[in-house]
Amino acid sequence: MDNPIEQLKKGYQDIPIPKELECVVEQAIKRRKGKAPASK
Amino acid sequence: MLQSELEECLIRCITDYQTNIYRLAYSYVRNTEDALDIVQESIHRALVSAESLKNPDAIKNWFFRIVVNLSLDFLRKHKRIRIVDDETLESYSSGTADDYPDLDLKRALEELPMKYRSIVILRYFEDMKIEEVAEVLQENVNTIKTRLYQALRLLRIQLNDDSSEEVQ
Repeated sequence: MDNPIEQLKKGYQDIPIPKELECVVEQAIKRRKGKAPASK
Repeated sequence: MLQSELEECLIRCITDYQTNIYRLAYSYVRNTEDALDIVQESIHRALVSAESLKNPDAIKNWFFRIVVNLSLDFLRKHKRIRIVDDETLESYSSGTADDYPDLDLKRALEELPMKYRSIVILRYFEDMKIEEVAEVLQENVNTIKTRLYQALRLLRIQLNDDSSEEVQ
């Protein structure tokens, strides 16, 4: 049996990742890039 | 480092750690929509304030700090933080150590006051070093060690030898 920390860590890692995440991240990055291009 | 290079590093960090930051946010707010909002706002805030980042090597910790702070702000606004006094805290840790079934252990973690829970999550679930946890939470290393020890005590988790040395 895993130690207690490993049990808790497994529960944490089992938090389901929603399919929208990738899109949310992409949009947030694009939004910034579109508004203010990086300065030199 | 040029600002454009710094921003590229940050975007790489955001992309590489997107699932980590989602889980981190979710562990605070316990809701998919709210966690996604926090991820989105964290990215926005990080990109807007990237120029304030002096040390590119600290990007990950700096970005995680933004996620933690926004998650805590969210909980404050929605009054989901419970204030626990020392007496109540002590009552959590009274009694004999025993083996927790998974559910009880999970509940014990969820009931842990935020200042302890953040440390457990970052140290053990995100595998950060004590020094990195201290940097993310902007506390000194000894404070983190003390709180980690207290957190494990509250969870009634017995440490193995390596971990014991770390928090003493």
